[in-house]
Amino acid sequence: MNKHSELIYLYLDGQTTPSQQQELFEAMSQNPDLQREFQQALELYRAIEAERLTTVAPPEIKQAVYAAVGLTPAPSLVRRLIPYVSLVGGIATVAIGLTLWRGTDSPPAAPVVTPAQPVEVRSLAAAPSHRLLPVHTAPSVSNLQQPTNGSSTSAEQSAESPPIVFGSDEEFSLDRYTPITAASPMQRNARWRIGMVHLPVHSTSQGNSALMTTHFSYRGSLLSASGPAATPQNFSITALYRLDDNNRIGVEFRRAPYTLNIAQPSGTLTTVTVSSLALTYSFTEPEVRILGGMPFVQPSIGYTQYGPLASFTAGLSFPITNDFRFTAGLDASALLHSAQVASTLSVAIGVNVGLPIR
Amino acid sequence: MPFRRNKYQSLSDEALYGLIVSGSERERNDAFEVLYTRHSGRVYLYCLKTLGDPAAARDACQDTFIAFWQSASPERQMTNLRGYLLRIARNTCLIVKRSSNAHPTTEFDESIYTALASNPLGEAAIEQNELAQLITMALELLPEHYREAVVLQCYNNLSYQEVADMLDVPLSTARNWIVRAKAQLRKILEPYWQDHSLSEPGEDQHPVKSTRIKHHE
Repeated sequence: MNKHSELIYLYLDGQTTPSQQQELFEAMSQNPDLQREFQQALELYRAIEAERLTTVAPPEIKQAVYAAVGLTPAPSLVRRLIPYVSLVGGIATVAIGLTLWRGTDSPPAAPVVTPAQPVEVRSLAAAPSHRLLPVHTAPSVSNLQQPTNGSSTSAEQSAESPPIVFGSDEEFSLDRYTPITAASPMQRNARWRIGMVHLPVHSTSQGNSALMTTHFSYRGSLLSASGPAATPQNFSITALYRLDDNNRIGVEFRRAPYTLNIAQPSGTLTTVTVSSLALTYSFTEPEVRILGGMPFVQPSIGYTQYGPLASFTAGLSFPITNDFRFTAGLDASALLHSAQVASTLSVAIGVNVGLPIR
Repeated sequence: MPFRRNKYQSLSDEALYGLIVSGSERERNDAFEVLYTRHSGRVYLYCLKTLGDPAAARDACQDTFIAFWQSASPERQMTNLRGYLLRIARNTCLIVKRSSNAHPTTEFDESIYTALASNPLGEAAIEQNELAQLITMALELLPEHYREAVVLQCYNNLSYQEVADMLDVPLSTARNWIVRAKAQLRKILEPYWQDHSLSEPGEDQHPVKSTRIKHHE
């Protein structure tokens, strides 16, 4: 290796003195081979620099390292956004549903009745409780528009039930009707709907319960396969909107341990504490008491940074006051991650506090 | 918050190491995340260029960070974390080399070429990738100490003095190794540049495909 070749690399590394630089440039100006060597050395430096700046470690290394040392990699931005998008979507869905549902409370438009057409009218005023009797009359339009107190008139009913036409060949059956009891403050909830879906809801008046409640539940894991037997972060907190005394819907935030395969393809399993945000529905039956508590079930479905999650809680709710209850039950949940299901089963205890919104 | 950035990104390596050895679980997690992001590329590149095999480099890089985590201790005074990581990587690669009887065999990756060729913007990328692979193969032809010196200086951006310290040799020795290694690399790759500059339109646009580098026995 001659001196000038060595100077090329020292120059490109910034290790030459001004006099050495001068010497190199003079030599290159007289030697085409040295110029070519300089050009190729420059290409070599550029190629190495480009590779150095663009090379990143493959992502599976990070997953394997984190799994081995027991750390949780920060989720990607998209995954971090999923719970928030879910929350906004859930709130929007609930808002639209409630809007449509409340829309049925407004008086329906009066039907156009022609004298030649038989019209079905049912009157509860003269009928026994829980029973609908079709009356074959031909009322005037004014009768349809001004119902009397204590009666469910044809206008509202005919909008929801198929009309029965006497004189036709179709056999009459009470099973075709949803039983409607006598009017009460809760009677309006006897049937509610979200969008076009009509849902019969058994409703019982329980007095002045709060419209919004929060529920905090702490769990102890029962399945060792789903993580350590005890973890400090295994809880849920839920905001619930009361549809009636039985039915509530809301949003649940949950932390729970799951054993996941987060180091694919090496197949390393690790236990991580997973956060989830879910839409939840709660059904409580106040008229049944077991050991002094009201049975309830609460299914949920939501997202985590690792995949979709579904859970189901069942237990007893012990009312202390109208707006304060203790709950105890079993909670089962399943998390779908990388085409594999991780599950937990835990004992859940909690408190349910009503907010002063009525 | 979904847009929250890791607040430790502005901290020095040594401060992050302090959090790893004595911070809370959250602090340890975040500090390691920053350190990994900061150094994993260089460590992987070192392993790749030293071992010549991507799979072995992945394993070595993974073992390096696991060993780093496991060796973290409040008693250790960390003054040069990048050098410390490279030392772990170097030891890991030496173990891999000793345990492997097979000579490193880097072959031209046709799948990468095919993927890049289908990219309309990939002409420059193909050339860059070809040259990178050829350099990797050429590195394997260098004497061990030359290769190590040039990888540390070029791919890990260490100074001559840092390379000398890492390899535990005098500065002048390290400088000679680096300069001679680069001169040999250029000489090995000279046919590529000659083919490349002589190729006419319509001829084989990727002469590297016919370039074969034989390992010295």
